[in-house]
Amino acid sequence: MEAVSKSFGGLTAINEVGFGLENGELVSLIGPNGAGKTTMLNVIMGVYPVDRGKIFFKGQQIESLPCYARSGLGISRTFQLLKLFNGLTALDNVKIGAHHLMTQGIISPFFQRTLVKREETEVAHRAMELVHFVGLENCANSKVQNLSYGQQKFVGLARALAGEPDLLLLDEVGSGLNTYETDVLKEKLRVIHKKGITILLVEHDMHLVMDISDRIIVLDQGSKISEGSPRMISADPKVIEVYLGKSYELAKG
Amino acid sequence: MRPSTVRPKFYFEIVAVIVGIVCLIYLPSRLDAYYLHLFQICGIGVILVLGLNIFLGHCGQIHFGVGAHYCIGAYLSALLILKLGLHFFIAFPIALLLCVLISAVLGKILLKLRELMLALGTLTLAFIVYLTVFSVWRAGLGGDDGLSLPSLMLGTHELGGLFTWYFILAWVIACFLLTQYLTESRIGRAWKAIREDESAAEAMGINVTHYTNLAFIFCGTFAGLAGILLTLQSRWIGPDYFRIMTSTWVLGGVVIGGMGSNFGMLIAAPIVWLMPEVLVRTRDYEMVITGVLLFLVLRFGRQGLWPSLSDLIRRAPR
Repeated sequence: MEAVSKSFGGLTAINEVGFGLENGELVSLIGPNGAGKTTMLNVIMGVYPVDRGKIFFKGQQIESLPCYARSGLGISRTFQLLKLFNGLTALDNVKIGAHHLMTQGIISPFFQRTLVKREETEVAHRAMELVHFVGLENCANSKVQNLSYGQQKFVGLARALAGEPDLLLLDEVGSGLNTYETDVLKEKLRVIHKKGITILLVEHDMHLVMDISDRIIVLDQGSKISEGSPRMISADPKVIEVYLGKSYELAKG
Repeated sequence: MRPSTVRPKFYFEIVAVIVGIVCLIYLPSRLDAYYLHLFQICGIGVILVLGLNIFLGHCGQIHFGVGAHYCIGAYLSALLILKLGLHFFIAFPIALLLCVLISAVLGKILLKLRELMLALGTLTLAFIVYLTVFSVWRAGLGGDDGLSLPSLMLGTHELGGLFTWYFILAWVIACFLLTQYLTESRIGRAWKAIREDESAAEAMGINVTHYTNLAFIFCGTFAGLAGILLTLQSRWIGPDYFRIMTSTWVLGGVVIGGMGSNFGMLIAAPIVWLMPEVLVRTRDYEMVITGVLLFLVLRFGRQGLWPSLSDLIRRAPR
């Protein structure tokens, strides 16, 4: 994983922002609403084309690649608004996440039965493992639309992990979770982090962010205003002014 | 949480298939020409709805012009037989291949459109093809006189209605198994992902354009195949077979059977294709009764017949 840097004009949702992620690092992206955090994830994922600037991933320039090709390279994401495959079961959702790892084509069901069988057992096994990992083994075969919001968030996480990503983009995974679920999430993120997967986390829950991040990048109105360790960020007067607020400083004592 | 319900449903489906096949092979040999004809048109109907079910039910894209592919397949094979003097069994694979190519080209053009625009685009396709055979190219395609085909000979032996039925049945089974395999593989999962959420599918590494095109090609090819089989079955084809109503009824069949359920298609097509034959006896009330029945299905079995029925069976006390 090489340095990711990019700048981006137009409506100036993101204005000349550049940063790099080290291999295996957990970096949080914070900032007030409309700062361009989700846009940043979308740009890295390839949902929007960049206007200017370059994105590198594993030393390869990727900003002109379509979205689906980037996930083939090892970038995976969750969505702020979930965007799960609602009519399908949790297990199937996770299986779809592993799409690009499989090689079956149209003719495989007829001429490559062994390949299909092997891949299907493999993906079923892995999907079940991931469903266990996020603690949803009891609802693996329930349709996602019947699960609670918190459970759906975890399905989204499992689905993103199914693609065996090297870079995991998490868009507000913690929002809408209760305290217990947030604690579980924190544990899961630590485990994922330990496996060496690089994580870029967009999050509003500052306790979560400060607890698990190696490094924090602060965006405001499309520009990077600060970058550093959690301790540095929580003491940065600029960040306190635009985002954290005086009360946070006071609460920390 | 409800436990997995996959197993009982699976056994039930297997039994249904075996019983069905026995009835379909033995029974027709005892029937007279009219009932054999009904079997044949139902078989063709099943292929039509199976194809659309891939595109509409699994991939979630709308297609109002399945009749166009149906028409193209029928006229292609008829022209190959009449103008080039080919034997049906030689014209058959050529026409099928052409159907694949034509679907691929049409898909490339039409799938630039999405949702409502796609509905309009495909509807236009159905109109264009219908008008082409009906009036634009009257000289070559016979207009509403249609094209008559010679009866099918193998050497000096004439292959009759029963052969036609078995030939259609073989293709129905092939198409069904193909659909079933595909929709339960990685490709089927990709289609379902696109149906549920296109942008999320894209983020999961699914090339949405590629897979919707693929579904369109299957849809068009199945319908083309149905058209080719129609030339074999009816020995006469004319624009009457390919009115907009045909496309509409195929669409209705998919909805009635249950979008995304391959087994549902096996019961939906016979219902849709036999209903006019039965209801024609009620004369003026035909359309009224059709409407009421459709309404009842949509009101009480919104997911379609097959999913609703298997729900009922699952819930029944054992």
